[in-house]
This record gives sequence, structure tokens and C-alpha cells, in this order.
Amino acid sequence: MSEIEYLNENALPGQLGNLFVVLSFVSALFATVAYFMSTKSNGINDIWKRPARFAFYVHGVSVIGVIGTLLYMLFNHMYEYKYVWEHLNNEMPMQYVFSCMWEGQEGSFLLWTFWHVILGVLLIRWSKSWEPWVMTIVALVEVFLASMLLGVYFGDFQFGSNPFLLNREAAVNVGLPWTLKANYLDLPTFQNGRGLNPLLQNYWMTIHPPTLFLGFASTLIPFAYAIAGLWKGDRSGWIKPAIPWAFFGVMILGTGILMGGAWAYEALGFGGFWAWDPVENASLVPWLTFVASAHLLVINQRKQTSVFSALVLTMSTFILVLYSTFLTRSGVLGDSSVHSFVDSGILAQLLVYLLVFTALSTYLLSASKAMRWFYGLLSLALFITAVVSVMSADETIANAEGALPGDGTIVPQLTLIFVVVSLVYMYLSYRKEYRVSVEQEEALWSREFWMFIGALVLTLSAIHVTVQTSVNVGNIFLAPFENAFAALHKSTGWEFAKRLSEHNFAAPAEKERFDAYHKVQIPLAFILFLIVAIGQFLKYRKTEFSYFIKKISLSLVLAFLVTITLGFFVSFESNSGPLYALVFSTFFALFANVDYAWRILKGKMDVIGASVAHMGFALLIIGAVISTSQSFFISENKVGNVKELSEDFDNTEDMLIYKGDTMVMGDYFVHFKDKYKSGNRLYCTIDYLKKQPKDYKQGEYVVVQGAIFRATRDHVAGDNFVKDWSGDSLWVQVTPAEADAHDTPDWTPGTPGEKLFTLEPTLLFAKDQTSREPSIKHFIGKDLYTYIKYTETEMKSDSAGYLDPKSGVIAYKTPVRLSETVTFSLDTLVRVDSLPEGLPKNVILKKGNAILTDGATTETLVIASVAMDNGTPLTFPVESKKFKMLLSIKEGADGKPELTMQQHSSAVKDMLILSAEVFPQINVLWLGCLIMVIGTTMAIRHRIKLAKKSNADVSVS
Amino acid sequence: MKKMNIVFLVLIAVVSAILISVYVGTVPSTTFGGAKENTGEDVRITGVLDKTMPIEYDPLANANLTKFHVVDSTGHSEKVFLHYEKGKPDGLEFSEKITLLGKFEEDGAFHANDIQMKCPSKYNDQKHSLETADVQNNPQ
Repeated sequence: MSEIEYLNENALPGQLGNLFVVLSFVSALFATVAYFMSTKSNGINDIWKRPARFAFYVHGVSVIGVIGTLLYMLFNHMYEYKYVWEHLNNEMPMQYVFSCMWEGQEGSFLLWTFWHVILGVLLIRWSKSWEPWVMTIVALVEVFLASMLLGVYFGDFQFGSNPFLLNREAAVNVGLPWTLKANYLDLPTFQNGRGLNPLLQNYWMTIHPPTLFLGFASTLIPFAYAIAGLWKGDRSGWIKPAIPWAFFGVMILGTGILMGGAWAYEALGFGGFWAWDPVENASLVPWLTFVASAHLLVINQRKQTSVFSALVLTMSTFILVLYSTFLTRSGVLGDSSVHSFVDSGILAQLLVYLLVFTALSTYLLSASKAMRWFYGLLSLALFITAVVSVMSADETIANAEGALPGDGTIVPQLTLIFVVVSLVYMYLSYRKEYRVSVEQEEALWSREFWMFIGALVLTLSAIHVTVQTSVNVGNIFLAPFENAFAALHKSTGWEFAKRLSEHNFAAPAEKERFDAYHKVQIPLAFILFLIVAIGQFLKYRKTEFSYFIKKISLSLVLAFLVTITLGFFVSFESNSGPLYALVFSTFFALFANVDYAWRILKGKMDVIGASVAHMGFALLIIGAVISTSQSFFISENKVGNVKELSEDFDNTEDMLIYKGDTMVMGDYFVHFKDKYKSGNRLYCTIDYLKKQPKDYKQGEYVVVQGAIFRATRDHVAGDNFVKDWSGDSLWVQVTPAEADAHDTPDWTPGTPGEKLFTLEPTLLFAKDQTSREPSIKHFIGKDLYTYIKYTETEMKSDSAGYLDPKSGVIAYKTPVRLSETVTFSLDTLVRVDSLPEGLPKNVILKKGNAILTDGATTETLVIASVAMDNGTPLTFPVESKKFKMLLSIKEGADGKPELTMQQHSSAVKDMLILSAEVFPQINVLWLGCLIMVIGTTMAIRHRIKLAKKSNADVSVS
Repeated sequence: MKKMNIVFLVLIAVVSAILISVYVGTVPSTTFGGAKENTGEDVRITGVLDKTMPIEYDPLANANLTKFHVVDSTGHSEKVFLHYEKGKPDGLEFSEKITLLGKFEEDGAFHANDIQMKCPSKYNDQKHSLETADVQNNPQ
């Protein structure tokens, strides 16, 4: 078969891109080897350093080359490439082209690699004598990351996924008829791409991923230093240079996570910035351990009393970043049968990387040669067994319906053995090499001790989030023991053993998720903030207890007062005791840190960084707790009368409003001004108007739901009539004889005033999905969050233009509301004995008069109910010309008439179900974030200054 | 006793408590048959949307109620009343897998108050193939 010459295909960028991909891999490999050789020379006659640096720079240039090529392809809409076709389309504003770039898996790996390159270059410049060791690790990580883009096959095993793959080359498409056509690019399919997920078309999504990945990337530096320290046999020297990097990483990663929260808040459309979503958790966990490890580094820089924990947490942070990538990218989280273990290249590849770095870190923890040999050989043996087991996997089991990843192999068992062996190894090396004697231990009232405890609390929090998020992964490890658990259940009757044997534990769904996380995280956060509060007042080494009590009591008293006062103003739900306690401890931490910065540190900018960062953290949590626990809906359905057509009606959080109408909502009047489509968005324009108070004079009459009321005294209308009437006795009901209902106005809580602001919540359509984007009005003390809960995007009507029918049982001679304006009333049905022509003989015909009215005009219809002798109803709809609807009646067995109504699409006004929620004090959260960043920056600057000073001192002496 | 030993023991105790709470706290998974036997008890059911049955959603009547059918792992199709304050879940029609949290109530119907859907999301978009590209677009 001859090679096909494909027309109009831009092959060159792809070839160039592939060249860069291969070059980046090879150069990273070379840099690793060269830096490794460079470590051997110990700084004397180092002939390998220059080539190593050169190789790393080549690697950097090729990574930038890959990114540049990909961007070029995206900007030029080259849909022959799979990555472009999948992530871009013609309609998309080009400002989101960067979001397209990192939407996909390959792009996000690229972003990560890119930041490693930048950080690596900085390390080359700044790490001085540590360079060969640290850069060996950085380059090694780059080898692994670059391999994720290779996209080569070894037999069935896919190694990486290439962003420069042509659509016709993709494994799913190979062999399809169109791939054999030279002019396949003329197919309509390739004139446009599939586009970016609409949720990602948001400015936060342009800056969130780069920030987050910079945060992820920066966990590599303390990790590389820790490994380098162990490798060189210098367990303490690595700490000082790693500290500024650790805090830099904490700051960036924290900011990145909160930007993700801001995106969720502004783009996801359902109140709240944190949902304990697996993807969110996967970034939170490394941050928690990162914070813990950074603080442990600070404790250990002078006196190495907890260097083991510092090492373990620093290394875990990086490994947890790998683990989170594994969780979110491998598909292992999505219910059981995503992919089988054998063909899923990326899952296996990520797992191997994860385990390699775990093994490497653990291996280095002990300095004992015997231990290292034992652990190294055992890990290698386990790995080889795992590879053999995967190669010889029973495909029928692995590919079976509902199979878990790893079914048909012994990989889960081997992984479990590896984890246990690693834990034992860690424990043994701790006992032999790291344990300090009682005399060396920190004093109970020392800052070190409580910082250490704080780090442990953070670690516990990280462990909980990890376990809770990975419940599905746990099933994989339970699966091999299903028979053992089943036997246990049989012999003991223990119900839980049965559930273990079924190994189908699932991560909590949305609502139960909050409870599952909060019940553990809130108490832990409570303890953590107590420690943040007292920590600063404790001195390094040892503190006089009386001194400590004297200093701390002011903040303690203040926090109590504020918390109790707050308790009067805001209502916490009865079951939120822990939340209330958390509010107290965050205020305690806030005041204690302000007090410490002010009274003890005298507000010196150089040294208050840590206190400021802690204040920010406390404010962030205060804002989060108050805004989420105190949020309330101001949208309520005031129409209410549609209830007559359905019993399911229950709209406490939503307001139904028709286009052109103005209605009361909370402290505003809202006016549904317009609804229009533009591009792939549907906008609803909502004007918020001032609510002007309505004065009622004594003796004035109003109508409420058909009844007439008289004002008992002069007053201003409240929000709710029922409250004014029964609560405050401002109204008294009168008989219709006293006042004429026709001339009496409806009660109103106020009158619409000037326009205050406009919100435009939207619906986005793309990729078969609709998503809603809220529109938010920011005030200093609160956010008003408005979104479209429902609006018709297109009305489904039959060929004559009538909409879907609605039915309901009605009562005789009682008006029923059919639409926003039209009411319907039916007098009794009277049997007609002489059947008109055309009707079969064995039917019962009943005739009734119906009155339709919208208040202004009235139409009378003759409506018929027809049924067979045996009761089977037949329907004969009549058309209301004036009100544009089809109506029919059938009689139920109990004699009650059931009305079916079909409105004509032309008579239906645009309807919107609007949700409006107020988040009080949410700005405290963002303010806290800002202050935390400022504080951390101050602290990092201080550290760098100190480091420079001590270097200068060394060189002078 | 050394302080570190105490800390260590407390740590182990808390970690065990966390592990137990995570696993004991989850709602048991079952099928519609199993759920019916335990009417009134919260269960989790995983299945797929029954595409042969309509999805009923009438926002005018109740914007929080969606009615649809789900087929569980035994192949049993059951009508589900989903009470969900977010209205009709986005992408319900396109969901590949549905997990429901709810119970059979005394009225004999399955009422769910929580839903989790697996949709073709951003990380497994790649699975979409162009299999039908020329069938749809290039009749020759």
C-alpha cells in the first residue's frame, strides 16, 4: 500500500514539536547523569558541572519550544492535531487560548515541567555548593515528567501521551475509513474543534492553573534539598537553604488553591468556594503538609530535635503532589471500572513514578548500609514481581465488567507489602538514628514543642482528607482480602466485615461530603488555631509559665468577648457547637498575633512577617466560616399561585419572575429586564431597584390573597404581611361589606425606587453541556450572589405551536390560575343526551361553561367531557382564541374533573427562576488571603536577609 | 514516660479513629431491591440513566424536583424522585454513571436527595473518537 499524501495538513509544527519533546527528554536524562557525575567530584575539579548545566538549559529551551509550538498550533486553529481539535473551537474568544493549552492532561504536565525549568535555573544560580545534588533530583524529576509527553508504545504499554498527535494517528481513530482519504481535512468535522469546557472560560482559569502548578513545582525544591542532605550525609545543612523556598511554595500553593476557590465561587454557579471536591482536596493535602514541614524546618534550623519529622514531611509533600496527580489523572477515582489496569498507560506510569520517589525517599532515611541494601533489594524484587504480574495478567479478569484497577494481577498486594515494609523501615531508622534522649527533648512550654504539635495536627488533617478522598482507592486494596473478610463475617456475624468484603465503599456524595469532612476538620482546625494563638507567646527553648499566662490573657479575654457578642448577632445552628468553638479559636489566634506583633515585636516590619501571615490565616478561616454558615437566600417565590397545578410545589429558595415584571426580593425590587443570547451564552438582565418604604395610614384598606384588611394604626410596611398582621397586629381583617375588594389595592411591602445596579447571570452552552455562571454584586460587608436556576433555553412546542400539556384536578366554580395572568373557572358539567353527529353512540357527553379571565377581559367557552360507557375518557380539546390555549376536561372515577391545559408558545412570557443568596463577610476571606501572602512575603524577605548576613559573617570570620 | 511517646500514642489513636470514622461513616451501597427491603434507610445506589424513559422536570411546579429512571447493576429500572436544591442536575442526560443517595419512603417510591454523576469530564475527553466523522458529514 502506498503512502497517502494528505492534503492541507500542516505536518511541520507537529514534527518540530516532537523534536522538542524528544530533545527535552534526552537532555533531562543527560543532565541527570552529568549532575550525578558532578556529585562524585565533591566540588574539586568538577568537569561535569558545565555539561550538566548546558544539558539542563537545552532541556529548558526544548520545554519552551514544546509550549511555543503548541501555542502556535492553537492560535492557528490546526484542527488536524488532536489536542487542538479537542480543546479549541472557532467561536471561543482567543483570550482563553492559554486555558485551552492547560485544559488537557498533556498541557498541564507541560505547565508543571515549565515551572520546574524556571525553578531549576534559579537553583543553578543560587544553590551554590548544593547544586550537583539538588539539580540531580530536579533533572531526574524532569526526566519523568518529560516522558509523560513521549507517547511511544512498548508493546501494549503506552509510555506518555503526546500533544502533537494528529487526529488520524490517534489510536481510537486508526483504521477508520476517513483516515484513508487524502482530503479528510475538508470534512466538516475538522472545520471546527470541540472547544473548551465552558466552565473553564473564566479569567480565574487563566491564572489559577499557572499559580497552582508553580505551587506544586515549588514543593520539589525542599524535597530536592532533603534528598540531597540525606545523600550527602548532611542531615541538618539542607534545612537553612530550603526554608525560604518552603515558605515561598506555601504562599504560592495556598494562593493557587484559593484562586481555584474563587473560580468555583464565580464560575461554578452554586454558592461556595470550597466543596471538598477530590480535585480540590488533591491540592489541599500537599499544602497542609507543606505548611507543617516548613514550620518544622524553622524549628530544626538551630537544634535538630525533630529532623526526622521535618524530613518525612518535606518528602511527603512532594510525594503527595505526585499522589494527587495520580488520583486526579489516572481515573482511579472515578467509579470502579474506568479502565483496566493493563492498558491504562498513564495509571501504571504515574503509579511507578509515585512508588519510585517514595522508595527513594524512604531508602535514604537510614544511613545504615545494611538497612539500605535490604530495603533497596526488597523494593526492586517487589517491583519486578509487579511487572511480571502485569505482563502475565489474566486479561479476562482485568477487563471484566466492574473490575477494579489491578484486578487479575497481584499489584495491590505487592503495593501493600511495599507500604508496610517502608513504614517498618522508617520506624527502625527513626529508633536507631533519629531518636533524641529525654534531656534533649523540647521543654513542654517551648515554642518548638507546640510548633511540632501544630505540625502534627496539620498532618492529621492531611491524613484525614487523603483517606476520605481516596476511599475508592482503598477498595482496590480491600479486594484481595474479600474472602478473608467474608469468612470473618460468617464466623463472627460482624456486619462491618461484610461491607469490607464487598469492598464497594464510595466517596461521599455532595451533601454528606460536607459532614464527612467537617466532623473531623473543624475540631482539628480548632486545636490548630489554639496553637497558632499561643505559639507566638512561647519562647524558643523554654518559657516561664507565669510570663506566658500574663501575656496571653488579653487576647484570650478579647476572643471570648467577641465570640459571645457574635453569638448574639448571628445565629449558629444548634448542632454547630464545634463551628462556634472554631470561631472562638480563630479570633483568639487573630488577637494573639496582632497583640504579639504590636506589644512584643513593637510592630517592626522586619520581624512581624510570621505574625501577619498567621493573622491572615485566621481571618481567612473566620471569613470562610461566617460566609458559609450565615449565607441566606433572599429569593423567595412570591407568586405562589402556580401551586394549584401541582402538589410538588416547594420553592423557598427561588423566585419565579416573568420578563418585564418587577417584584420584591429581600431589601430590593428586582426587574427582569431582558433575556438574550450572544455567542454561546444566554444572558438574563436583572435590574436591582431600591425598595422605598410604603407608609400605611390608620384605616387604610388592602387586599391580601382575596381577603380585605384594615390598618389599625399608621405604620411602615414590613417585609412580610403575615408578620405585620399576626406578629405586630398592624392589620385587622374586615368583612367584604366594609370595603369593596375591587377598589382596594393589593398590599405591598414598598414601592420600587431608583435603579441601584444590574446583574447579568448567564447560562453557557458548549460541548453538550450547560453550565450557569452567577453574577455577583460585591459589597464591603457581603456579596449578593445571583444565578439562573432555570429558564427556558428553547420552548418545546408541537407543530401548531402548543407547549407541553399540564394537568391537574380542579374543583367546580373555583377559579384556577392557568398562567401568570389567566384564571379559569368551570361551572358544573351537565349531561347532554342528544349526541351530536360524528360521535360514537356508546359515549357519555357532558357539557360545562368555563370562564377565562385575565381581570381585564373575559372569554366564555363551552367545554365538553366525553367518556365511553365503561368510563374510559376521551378528550376533545377546545381552543381559547383570546388567551391562546388548548383546554380539555376528563372526569375521574370520583367524579372530579381533571383539566389539561396547553399554552401556546406565543402567549408565554419569558420566565426565569432566580436564586439570590447573600454571603456575609466573604471579603474577610479574601482579605485574609491577601494578608497571609503579605505576611509570608515579609517573613521570606527576613529569612533571606538573615541568610545573607550569616553568609557574610562566615566569610568575614 | 517521655513526652514524644505520649504524642506518638495519641497520634496513632487519632489516626485509627479517623480511619474508622471514614469507613464506618459511609452509607452502604446496594441495589433498588436491597433498598426496598430496608425501606426508610439511607442507601447509595449506582446505576445508569434509563434513556428509554423521559426525564420529567417542571420548574414551574417545583424547581427542585427531577423525576427520571435509573437502571441499577441488576438491570432493574426504578423511577427516582430527586429532590435537589440545584434544580435539574446539569448534564444528567449525558451522564455515564449515576450514584444516588436516598431511600425508599413509605409511599413506595425512591426519593433521593443527593446525586453524583460521572460525566465525560475534562480529563477523559480523549475517549471521544471520531468514529462517525464521515458517516455524519460526508455522504459519498
